[in-house]
Amino acid sequence: MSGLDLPLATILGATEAGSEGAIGGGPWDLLIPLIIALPLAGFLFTALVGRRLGKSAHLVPVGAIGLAWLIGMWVAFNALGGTEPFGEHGYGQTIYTWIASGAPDQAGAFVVDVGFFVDNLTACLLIVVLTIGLLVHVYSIGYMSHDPGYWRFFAYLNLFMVSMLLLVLADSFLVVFVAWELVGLSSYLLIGFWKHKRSAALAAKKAFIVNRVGDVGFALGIMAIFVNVGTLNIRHAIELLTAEGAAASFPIPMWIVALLIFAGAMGKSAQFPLHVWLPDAMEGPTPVSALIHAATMVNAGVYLVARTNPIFASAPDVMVVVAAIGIFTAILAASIAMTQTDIKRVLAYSTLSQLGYMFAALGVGAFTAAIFHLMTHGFFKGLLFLGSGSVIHAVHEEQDMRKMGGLAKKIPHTYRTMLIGSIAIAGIPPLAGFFSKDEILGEAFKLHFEWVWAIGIVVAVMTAFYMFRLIGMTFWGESRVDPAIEPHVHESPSVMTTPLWILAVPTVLLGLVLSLPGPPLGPLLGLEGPGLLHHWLEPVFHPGLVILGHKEAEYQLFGIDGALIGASVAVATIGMVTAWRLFGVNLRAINWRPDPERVRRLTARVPFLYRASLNKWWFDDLNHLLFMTIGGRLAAFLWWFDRRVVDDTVNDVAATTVGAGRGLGRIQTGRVQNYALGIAVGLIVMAGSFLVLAAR
Amino acid sequence: MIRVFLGTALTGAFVLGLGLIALAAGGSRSLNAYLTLSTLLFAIGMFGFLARRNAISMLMSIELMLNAVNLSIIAFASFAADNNAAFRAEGSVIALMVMGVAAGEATVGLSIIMAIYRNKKTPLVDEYDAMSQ
Repeated sequence: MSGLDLPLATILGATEAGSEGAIGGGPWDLLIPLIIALPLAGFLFTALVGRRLGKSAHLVPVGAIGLAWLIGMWVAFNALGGTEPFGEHGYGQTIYTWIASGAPDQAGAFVVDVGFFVDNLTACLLIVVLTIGLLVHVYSIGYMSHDPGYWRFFAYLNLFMVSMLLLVLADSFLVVFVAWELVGLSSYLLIGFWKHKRSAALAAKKAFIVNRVGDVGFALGIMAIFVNVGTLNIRHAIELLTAEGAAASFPIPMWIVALLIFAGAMGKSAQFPLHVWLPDAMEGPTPVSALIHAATMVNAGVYLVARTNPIFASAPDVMVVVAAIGIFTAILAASIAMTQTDIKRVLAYSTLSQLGYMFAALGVGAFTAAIFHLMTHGFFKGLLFLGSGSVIHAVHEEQDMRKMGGLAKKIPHTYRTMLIGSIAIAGIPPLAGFFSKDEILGEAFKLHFEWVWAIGIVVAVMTAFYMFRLIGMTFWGESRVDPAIEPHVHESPSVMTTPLWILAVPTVLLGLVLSLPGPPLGPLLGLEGPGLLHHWLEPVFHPGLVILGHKEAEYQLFGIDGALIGASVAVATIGMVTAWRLFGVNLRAINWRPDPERVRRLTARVPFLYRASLNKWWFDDLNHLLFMTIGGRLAAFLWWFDRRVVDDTVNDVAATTVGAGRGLGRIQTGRVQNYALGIAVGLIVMAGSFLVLAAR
Repeated sequence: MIRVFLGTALTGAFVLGLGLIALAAGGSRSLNAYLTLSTLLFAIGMFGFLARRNAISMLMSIELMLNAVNLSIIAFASFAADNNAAFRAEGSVIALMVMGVAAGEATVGLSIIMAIYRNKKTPLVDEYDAMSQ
């Protein structure tokens, strides 16, 4: 089959290429590519003619995402509902053969098909990416309305949507890698959107370079997979990699493969020690922070590990590494978030911390819990970021929380939605964050990763604390807003507040919906069976769980599980009340004043911890020392070596040749008698030598 | 002009003198005498070639060297014929050939000098420096 006529045939609904086995895709062969094609068209259109559209540049991109959202939801619900052809294990279609070197079944052949694959995991990601993507697009209409780069912003956003959707839909590691780099590119473009600002340009560069470090690992991991099994199709490769007894014949051991893939995930999901780029990425416009750096792109690493769960399950040591790095990132970032004063940075470190939770869940083998948290976190962190954007908008681009305060009355919609988001992330039932976080902690404990649970509980205290510190400093207490700006503080237009309220709905309900009819509430209401998300994702994670050999523990609401829930709710409350005590609270019944004196005394008691948190545990300084100072010296030495030794050797050879030529050239006077003299002298020398030799 | 004439005459006398001394030293039939004369002639030719600036004089010096060589060839052939008579004729033939070649060489050389003279307007070879540029 030649590459050219295939996409057309596939799009026209021909079943020959699209079918997996006997079942044809029918309309899905058209609809699934459309999810990507629509934003792509929006991007191309806006990039080409957006400049002339002025303030109506958003129409096409937002419309494209809206349509893609409709189709995506239709696809997702059919996939989750198990409609044919999706069934239980998803449906894949091949668009065309991208690289065809050798016959597909011949040894050493390198064949890469571009295709899409939709199963329940993809469907979950589609819901998160498309819904938040659509809301952020709508929100940006208001947020970016005064920006001269209006059209450019929407073009980039659409490019990001294309890349992210390709990432979750692609069925080949190589295509996933392409999408992986594309989301990196759009992230770079959007962080540096205000490119005239030096800090933004530097942050974009930092994000790009740090991501490259992880990407090297991912690329090597893909190569290792190819070396081992000779195919890059995700499902096929995983099947071959985890086949019974196959591991012994692989040239590259599984733990290296898993570790390399995890390196890629660490870069994209900003896990320690590659976490340094995410806080700086907040230099981008706030909708970008919400979409890319909180709700979608940073989840790509979690998605990748979840997608390749059987590979990780066959390397249990790497799973422990994943869990350790995840939970360490969680506590590290949470400790930094407690002292930051930039509202977006607090949220950025919070995102790091929550991503750490997800990796901890993956590491202990609670894959479903990780995806659960990915989904709820996507919604409530998207909400919090968009809310922070609304706050920043209200106080005229001020991001320092020390210059906010008392905003609750002035921007009520933003205040209410952010309060909902904060309660959700703090883990207070029955909001979404409680269910997913509690599932992670409970699973960690029950799977005998007690240390993960213990650290996770500490992180939960910190989470509740820093979120209500943020709310207290921003919305409660007395106003510290610049008096010049104070009278102009205003609520954002409805195009911005509506997405906030829409996001508040899943923030409240998603946990409940996805966990019913399973624990923790199901048994209490007399319902039976696993939770909705468990039911959806069971086929995806079944292979990994079989390899791990985890047994489904009996759920005991009035035993261990109830105790764990009680513990996490209790610590969340402790964190919340502590924050109220120190930074004030203005809820109806509770009215406490902030107590800066006590804050000062408390921080003075642990000066080292306070300074460490304030300075982000000096990781930026460490990187500066390692790569700028020491690395710079090394580079300077190498440069010197290149100039003085390598270059000079070559130059000296050339100079000697030229000099010798010039010296010898002087003999060539052009005067015939000099040459004759030479001949005569030569003759005499020859004759003389002959005589001397003959006389002996 | 007189000086040149005097110089040449003195040199000729000197050479003749040396030749007579050589003859006297070697008896009536001495190879050494011929060779000494030939060497002297060759040396004079070489000196003239290296020292004179005039291209015509240099050409004449070349003729002198050629004739010195010719003289030694004839002398060797004549003495070698004492053992084998065939050498006498062969030596003469070689000498004749050298003369022929020398005539040709002189013709070509002279015409080159004429051509250069037309361009440079000088017979002095140290001004023929086009090759060094």
